[in-house]
Amino acid sequence: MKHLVTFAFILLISVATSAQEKLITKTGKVTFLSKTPIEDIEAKNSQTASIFLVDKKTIAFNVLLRSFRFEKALMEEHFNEKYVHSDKYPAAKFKGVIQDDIDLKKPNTYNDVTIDGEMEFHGVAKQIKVNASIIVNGDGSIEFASMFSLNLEEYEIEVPSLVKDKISPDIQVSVAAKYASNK
Amino acid sequence: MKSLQNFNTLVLLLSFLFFFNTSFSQDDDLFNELDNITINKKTNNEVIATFKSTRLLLGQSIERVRKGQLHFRVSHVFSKIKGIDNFFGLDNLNNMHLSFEYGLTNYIQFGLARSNKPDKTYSGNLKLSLLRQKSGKRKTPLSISYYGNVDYKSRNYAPEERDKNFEGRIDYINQILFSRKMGDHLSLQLSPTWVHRNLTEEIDDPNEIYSIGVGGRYLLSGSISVNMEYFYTLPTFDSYDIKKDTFSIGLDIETGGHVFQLFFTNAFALHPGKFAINQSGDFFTNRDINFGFSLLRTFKI
Repeated sequence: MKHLVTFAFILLISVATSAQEKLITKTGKVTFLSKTPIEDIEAKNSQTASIFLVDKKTIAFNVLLRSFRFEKALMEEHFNEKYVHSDKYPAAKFKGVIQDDIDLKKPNTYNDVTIDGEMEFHGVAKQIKVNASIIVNGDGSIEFASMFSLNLEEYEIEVPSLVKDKISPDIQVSVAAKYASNK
Repeated sequence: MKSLQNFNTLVLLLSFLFFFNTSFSQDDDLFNELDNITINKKTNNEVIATFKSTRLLLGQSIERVRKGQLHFRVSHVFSKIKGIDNFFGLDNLNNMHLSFEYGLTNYIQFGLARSNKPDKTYSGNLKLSLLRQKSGKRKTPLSISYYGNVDYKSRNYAPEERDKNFEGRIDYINQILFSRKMGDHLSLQLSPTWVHRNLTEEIDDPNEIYSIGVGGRYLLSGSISVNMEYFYTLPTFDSYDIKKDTFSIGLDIETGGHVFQLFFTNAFALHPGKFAINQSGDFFTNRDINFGFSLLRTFKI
């Protein structure tokens, strides 16, 4: 009897710890914006999957490129076909570790957190550093927001000369995710 | 008692192993796990961008107007390129075609169109996406669409009785479009076409005309493709002889939401009720070649 109790207890702890430190969302929002004097092009993705390993201060994102919505459907097709080649590279991925010494278990607001990580996009993997803000709420849920820019050339995305003045070489990316608490 | 203690230790060990296992394997499997929870991962594998727009050149392509989108297209065709005296045909605007196409859902599209020559034709049309080419585990090799169109010829007819015959002004066009994207560059289409005319010009002309459209595109770069299209009219309708088949060759130029088409064709009609029948010159032997273009602008409604 005693060993069974021990087993159950330890199992409970192990499940509880691993569950507690891993926060998940499937509905993170990623927006990108290309700003030029001629035209602003914006696309939104509200089905971004993300996992936040709280104890390890590690955050990872998976963004399906097909799930980006443009104002013009035709533009959406051309984006997938011509620029990001989503048949070959269906998702953009990011995994990074928070560099600051912050306590994610207590309610607080951190406005300038640095994350070092790797971005994989269009078949190219790059080390990048992004700034983010993190809010830990009283109920244990976490809100994450970040803005950074991506240079298309660095990820080997070619912009034809025909549309060069309509598409900015640097794309502004904003990420917002809210992770419900496991408690 | 001792064996129980041993067992106890074993359980403890196992439990710890389990504990460490769950907390350490997470990191490696992070992306796998993310993949598994990503919405639409498995369903969204439809092949896209088979063609740049909803027209191959003159004829309909398999492409559809998506939900809530409106396509406005203006097409022009000039007269025969026969020399400098009419500036290679550009002096005479032979035909103008206006069309609006709206996506009711991602699979149903309605359209209205007006073509000035030869019959001042108003058209109402419907395109249904029946089957969509898919990649991945559950492959679908082809896309299939239905295109149906009713033409109303609004020009004045003589004699008066013909003019008053409302039914005689109506033509019906039915097409089944089959297409396959063969790779990043090449896409092919087959478009069997059936035109029913309530009233023909000549008494010997058949009311039913069948034509087979074949065509394709080849992407030269991300923005530009070469398109070709040929409508072969079955020999049920021979009074126009060699002038009945339509051949078009041209370019699609896409500039982020706009698509321009430039083409050479032996047709001067720009709606399927006509160009798939008989109103074409001979492209090759007689060089009855016209230059034309179309502009497409898309809106979100």
